[in-house]
Amino acid sequence: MFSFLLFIVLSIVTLIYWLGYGRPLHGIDDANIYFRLHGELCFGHGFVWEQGGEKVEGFTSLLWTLIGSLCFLLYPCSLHTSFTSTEFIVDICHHPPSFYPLSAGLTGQEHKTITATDILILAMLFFPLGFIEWSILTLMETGLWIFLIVYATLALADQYLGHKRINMPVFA
Amino acid sequence: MIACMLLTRPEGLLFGLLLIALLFAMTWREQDLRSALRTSALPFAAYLVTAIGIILWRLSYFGYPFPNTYYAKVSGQPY
Repeated sequence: MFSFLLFIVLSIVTLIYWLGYGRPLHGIDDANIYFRLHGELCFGHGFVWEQGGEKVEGFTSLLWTLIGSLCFLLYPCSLHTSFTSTEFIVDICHHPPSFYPLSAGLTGQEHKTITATDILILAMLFFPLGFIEWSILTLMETGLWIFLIVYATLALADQYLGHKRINMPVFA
Repeated sequence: MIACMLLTRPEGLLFGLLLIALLFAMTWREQDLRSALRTSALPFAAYLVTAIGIILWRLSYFGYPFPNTYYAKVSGQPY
């Protein structure tokens, strides 16, 4: 329930930020390099800048390149808005699974839908400038990276504190 | 998680190893060495398979083993 609420709140906050920044359809310049590579990969040209061009590893994140190419498959490439919103959603989806164990672990009140600690964590993330911009609006792999680091670290912390054992196949 | 880290960013190689080391140390402290080895085996295997897989793929596809960003940052060229 908390994850669902967080998804809704995060979507609304992202929408507000997006409107506040003048409804950009592109992320930062590096994200546009990714877009180009996503498209070429999606068309089956491989990791190239243009069809028939030299193979180039113009990305930092292989996984984000693959995820972006899947987003391209979902929509025709001319519909940039749809593609951008899909990437927004992909980025937003990374956050709730990260923060749910953080919240539950801190409060020990897993039975409650939302606690004061949840609200404090969300406020700390949403209000300072930088977090939403860099983890979502840039359309870079930052959201995915945050999710992986936070989730894996919290899984270890949970085991250390004796709350629950790590699900080893998921951790691996 | 560990495998995805390696696929997400080059620093994943370092972070993945650090997390596995922490898991190993925690389990050793709480139980014994044998349990620590057994617990860490799956994440470490995932780490090794992914790391070797990426390096081999990069070598066969691009012709070099390490991420392009590595060569860009250690080439010594000003631009």
